[in-house]
Order: sequence, then structure tokens, then C-alpha cells
Amino acid sequence: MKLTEKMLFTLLLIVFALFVLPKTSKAQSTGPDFNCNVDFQQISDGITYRRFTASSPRTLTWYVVKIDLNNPNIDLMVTPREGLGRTTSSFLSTYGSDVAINGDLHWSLTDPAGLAASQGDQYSDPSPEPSFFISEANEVRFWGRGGDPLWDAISGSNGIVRVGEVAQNYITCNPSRPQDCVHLHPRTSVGLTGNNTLILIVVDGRQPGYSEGVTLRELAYMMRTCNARDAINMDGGGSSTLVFSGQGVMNQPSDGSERTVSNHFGICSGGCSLTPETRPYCMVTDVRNNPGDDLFAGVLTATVNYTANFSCQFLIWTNGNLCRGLAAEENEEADCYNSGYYCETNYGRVDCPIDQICGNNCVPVPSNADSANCQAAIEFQYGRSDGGCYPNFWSCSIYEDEPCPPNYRCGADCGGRLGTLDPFEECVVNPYVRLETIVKTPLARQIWDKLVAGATGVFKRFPPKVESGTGSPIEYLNEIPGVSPVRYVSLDGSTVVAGSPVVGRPGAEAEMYFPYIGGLHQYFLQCIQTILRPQGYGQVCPRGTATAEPPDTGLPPGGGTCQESNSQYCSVSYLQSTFGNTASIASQICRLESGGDPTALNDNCLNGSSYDYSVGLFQINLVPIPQYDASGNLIGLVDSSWRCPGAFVTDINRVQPPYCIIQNQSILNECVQRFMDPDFNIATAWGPHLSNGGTTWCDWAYAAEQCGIQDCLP
Amino acid sequence: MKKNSRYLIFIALVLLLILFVSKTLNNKPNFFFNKNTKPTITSSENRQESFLDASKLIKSSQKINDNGDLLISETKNYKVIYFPKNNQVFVSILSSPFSKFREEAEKELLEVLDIDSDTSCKLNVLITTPRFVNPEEAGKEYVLSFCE
Repeated sequence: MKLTEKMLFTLLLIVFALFVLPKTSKAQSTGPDFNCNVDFQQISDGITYRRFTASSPRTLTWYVVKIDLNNPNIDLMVTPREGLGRTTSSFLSTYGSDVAINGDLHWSLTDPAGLAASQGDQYSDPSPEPSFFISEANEVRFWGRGGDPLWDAISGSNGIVRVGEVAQNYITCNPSRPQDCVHLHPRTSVGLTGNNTLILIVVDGRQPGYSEGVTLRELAYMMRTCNARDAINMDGGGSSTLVFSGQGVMNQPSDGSERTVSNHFGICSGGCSLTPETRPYCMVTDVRNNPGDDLFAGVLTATVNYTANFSCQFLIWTNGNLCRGLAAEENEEADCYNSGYYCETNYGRVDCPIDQICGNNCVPVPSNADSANCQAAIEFQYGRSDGGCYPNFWSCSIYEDEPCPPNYRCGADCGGRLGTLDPFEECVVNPYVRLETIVKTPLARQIWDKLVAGATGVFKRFPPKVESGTGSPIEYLNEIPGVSPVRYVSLDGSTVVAGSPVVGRPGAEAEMYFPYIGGLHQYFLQCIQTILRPQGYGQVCPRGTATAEPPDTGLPPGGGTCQESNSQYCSVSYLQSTFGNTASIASQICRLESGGDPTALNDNCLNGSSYDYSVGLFQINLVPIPQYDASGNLIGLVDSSWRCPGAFVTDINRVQPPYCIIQNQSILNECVQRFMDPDFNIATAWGPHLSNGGTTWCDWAYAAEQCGIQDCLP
Repeated sequence: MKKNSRYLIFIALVLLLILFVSKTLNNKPNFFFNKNTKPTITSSENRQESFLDASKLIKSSQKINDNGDLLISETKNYKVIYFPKNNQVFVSILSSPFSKFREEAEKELLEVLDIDSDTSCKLNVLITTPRFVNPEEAGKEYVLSFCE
């Protein structure tokens, strides 16, 4: 009997082990092998750092920073409310930290997605996102809702290591959640070890040949390799940034340049200060808020020092290379020919071998037998020895009616056209240098709260209430910025463009925006009169509500008049996880552009019929984009790092057909494969270079116009 | 007491086996990679199931991305892709005129799937074309013409 029970137990255990215990996916990588304990270099007291590279499981570059929290000199900080919405470098330089990384995902640049607080000022509410907390004594704690009182707090998108274990979902790797163990991205992560060392890991990605990125599963195992007991994943992708004081951005952000992010996390060796060390923005001190006036009253100057790295390709003077290349620039096909050819255009020797000429449209000299009759007739008739059969495109002073091969005529004193090729090549590059201006309106937020939006604001003391759906003349409050004309001019004559260089708005026609100022004018000066007057009198205040259900128009929700797609990847349900509430618009565009074909490839730039080498669901164009100055003059082609750098010749003549020439086929193939990946394509379409988080659609101007999504006409 | 514990263990064992069997049945294999199993493509209306011969598909299919999407057939005029996630057979028309190559692609689809037109109408088939190929027909979604 005892034996039977044992057998049953054993069977039970076997069945349990085989079928019930969660299985680890053997196919999923646990990331690169590395030693997180050696070869770190000190960058400040209590802060060490090391850069790692690996070729397995794929090409990777990542950075690990260790902060000894037992060191009394270490101080930690989270972006304060007034420091939101800037680059990590700007955060670092403004608040004087030694190391800074990007923080949380965000709804808008001033609204992080999860809990955030700085020195007791909680400016973003808790969300399902995991958070970590820093007490006033710099004690770091992960998870939960924070202590009381809350001091510093910041959140990330995923908890990846908990109590010394990789989070379960990164072990089981549910195939329906490819974001856990499949998707490769640049990453930023913060962890804490059992001996009170803070670990920062920043992994670069989306840059084949340099670093392709890691999965969240891999990131979790990397954190474990560095002995993290708890760790969370912060905002990643193009946001992933690591900055050191005095050294700048250490990693290579995948956008090709540093991205503006909502909040940040900084480490100071020697103490952080929320008082900005420097003021990188212009403090506006003389402001008037009368409509029509210039809000910015004054002149500010700044000196911009920059280094521009660029490369030019020149033709090499050898073996007819120049002959062919220069002629091609004249839309001619030339090559080197010896004396056995007659050429329509003779450019001279150029860089052809000795005894050859650079010629265009050359045909062989007919054989002596073919020219014999002609030569004899010319000699007999004119006493000349230069008679012969010459191509029809040559002109002769003497012609004789003697037989010659087709397309040749009998003549003497003949010659073709003499041409010239300008061997001088010039490379002109006009770099764009970005100068950011940040408008800082002192106390504007506080005034806005006190006068209008705050619970006890003056505006709210007047009946009726600000309420939607009740017929109130004020249904919602909108943070309207004030706008003022402003002129940007260059003192050295350089072209100045305001805003996006692609738009090319002249610097002299720039606009500057002042947060809350427009709202103060709208509500406190105008609407307050409206609500005090009898109904129907006074100016109309903004109506409607951002939260109410949209009226049933029979059209797809979210805007646009086209149909949403039913295909796998262009469907709203698929796009929702990336585009959120603008998934309907994205679906309409995707349906029109590719029909839902993730492999759609429009390579019409090669034959000059359109300016496209457009790939995948959203037909993302990989061709370098022409840049124009404010006067509409072409100034170059931009081979953006996020498209397919190096794949195409960036010759300025490519604004003429053919609109593209492939420079490196293997680079192009890699890019095409990448952009044909539906998830990568969707992520790029959503990203800052195209729809900018689903807020602008003019990169698909045809679809945007056709579907009534956005007016993209210039 | 001992007898009771034996019963309890036995019942637990049976329950675990039931759990395992039901779990196994729920994890349907990807039909394109299981040559021993008859493949199933759910109809677009989810009312009926039809059965296709996987072996022919496997021969001509090529995995095109990490999501397991399969390129069933490709010519310069059209492309047939299978999206396993929603059991969708997707036809992209890549040449003009649309109607001519739609017809060609439909014929090819029946041939490569080795099914008749009635059966094909039970499948979730979507036919589209990119804007750069057929701007007039782009933005519309079609089913098999003989199923309309």
C-alpha cells in the first residue's frame, strides 16, 4: 500500500512538473553575456561607468552606470514641474547634475504617464506604471504608491526585476505579448541592488551594425547580471539617453539626435539643486497681453558655436572615371575611345589613357575595304587623301556620292563636335544649426491657477459652473498659449528658418508662444464678461468638451472620412496599441497607402516617375529628402539617420530624374527588410519624424487631404 | 485515513490530467508547420471552418517576418500572404489594371490552396492594392469576386 501511494505521489509530481509548472521559452535570448563587476571607471565621487559592446545575440552597445548610494556625497533628483519637456542634456546642464537619463513615457511633454514628484511637489498622478521613490535622505525604494510625505518619484513602463527575480512574464514569454520577449528597442532602465547600489542601463538600438536593441526580457536579465534586486524599464526607443556632465550625450539616440522628453532622473555628486545653475532660455521681463501687440518686447542675441561634420564624394581622375562622371552630369554618356572610333562629341583626353579620347556617341571607323571606293573617288576628284566614310552626325566640307556602310557618308574634310567638360567639382554643404528658444513666463502657471483654472480661482467663483452638457456657456477650460510675432535674424547673413526646416518658415515671420497667456485673455478677460451678461450676449466662449462622446456622424471615430482597414496590420485593433485614440486615422491612412500589405514597395524613384522609395504599411519613404532655404532655393539632400542612411547617393542633382541612385545595395536591403516589418513600420509612422505620436499626418498629405484628416496644403 | 488520502491524490491526478488535456487542445498548432494535422482557416464570419491541404501551401510558402506571416504566392502582378494571427488570406494587387490582375490572383489562390470557389468563399480573404499602383482602387477592400 505504501508503495502505491509513493508511486501516485511520484506520478503526481511528474505530471505537475511536466505540464503545470510554467515553461521557460528556450528560444528566447537572455541577452548578452557580460561581466558587470569589472573595468568600471569613476566619473565622479560615488559614480562609476562602463561602456559595453557585444556581437551576440546581436550587435549591441550599452552603458552601465553604478551609483553608490552609501556615499554621502550622492544626491538624486527628478525633474521639477518647471523643468519638464526638455532634452536630457538640457535637464543636466540646467540643474547641474553629473549624470542624467530620460524618464517616463508621457501624454504630453508636460504630462508624464505615471506618478512623478520632485521635492514634495507631485505633478503627475499615479497610474498602473511602476514607480521608484527617493526620500529626502536619498533612500531609494521601488514599487507601491510612495511614502508619506512623497519626496521624489518617477515612473517607467514596466517592472522587469522584482525581489531579485526576473518578472514572470519575461520568463514565460507569452507569444501574444511580443513586446515582452520579441521586440527589440533602445532601452533605459533603473535598478537597485541589495547593497544599495543604483544601476542605470542604457542600451542603444535601431542602428544595424552598431546596436540593434534588446527585448525587455533581455534587459531584465542584464539587470540581474548587474545584481539588481528591483528594476524598472523607463521610456525607451528614441527617448533613451544617457548624459554625463562635461561629456555630453554618451549613447547614440536612435533618432540621430537627442529627443525632448517629459521628465528625467539625475544624479549629483555633491548635491543637486532645483535652482537652475544657468538659464538656457530667455527670461521675458517686459510682457503685455493686449491682443495684437508684440508680447516679446526686446532684442536678445546669442552666439552659436558649432561643428558640422559632412562628407562629399568627388570623381577620381583616373581611367576615364572623370570622363564618364562629368559627362553624366551633363546628361551625356561618354567613355574613352581609341582612334578606331568616330565620336559625335569629342571632349579631348580628360582622364582617358594615352592615345584615347573622351567621346560621346562613338561608332567604329569603317574598314578600308568599306571606304576604298570613297577614298579613290575623293582622291581622283579633289586630289585629297582624307576622303573616307564618316558617320552621318559628322559634317564634311566635301561630299561624294559613293557607297558607304549604313549611317555613314562619303566625304572629306570632316569632323565632329568638340565639347568641353568642366573638371572642377564643388561641394557645397549648408548645415542647419538648431538654436532652441524656450519661453519662460514667470508665474504664468500660478496666475492661470489663481485667476482661472484653480479650484478657488476667481473665474470659477462666478456662476454658472464650467461644466459640459449642461448648457453652460463655458464647457471646459483650455490652456491657450499667447502668441506673439517675433523675428529671428542672423548677424552674419546666414539663412534663418523658424521652426521645422522642412516647412521653411522665414525667421522674420516666426511666432513665439507663451503658455497660459492666451487662456488668461480668453477666459479672464472675455468669457468672464460673457457669463455675466444675459444669455446670447457677449463673445462666444470655447464650447464642447474633450471628454464627451463624439456625435454620431456615421464616420469612423477619431476623425477622417475614409473607411478603417480590416486587414491584419492596418486594423484599428492592431494599431490601437501604438496610436491609441488616433488609431482610426492611422488605419485609414494605412489602408489607402498600402492596402495593408506590409511588404508593399514603391521604388519609382529609380525610374524617375515619383520621388519614392517607399516601404511597407505606411509607405515610409527612404529617399534622402531635399532641403530648401526660406527663399525656396534647394540647399541639399538630407539623408536622415532614421530613414536609410548610406543607401542612396545624396547628389543634389537627384531632385531631377532619376530621383534616386542606389549607392549601397546591401544597406538598402537591410533597411527594406526592417521597414517591411509591420511593427517597426508602425512604430516609425507613430514616431517623432512622421506622425509625431499621432498628432500630424501631413507626411501622408494625399491621404490626409483625401480623408479629410488634416489640411496639408501649403 | 490512508484510503482517503489515496483517493484525494488520485482525484488530484485526474484533475491535473484533465487540465493538461484541455490546455493541449487549446494550444492549436500553427497549421502551416504541422504537416500531420489538417489545417484550419476560420471563415471571415466565424461561422464555419474549412479544411485545406497544408502540404501544398508549405511547399510554396515563405515566412516573411517574425510574426509568422507567410508569403503563399508572388508574381510581379500580385502577392498572396497568409496572416496567421487572424487567419486572413491577404491578396495585394501590384499591377494595373486592377480587375485583370485581381482575377489572375483569385485563380492562383484557388489553385495554390487547392480548393473550389465555394470553399474559398468561407475563408477570410481580403484583396487590396496600394495607392501607388492603383490609385483608383486603393483605399477599398475587396473579397473574392465570385463570392460577392
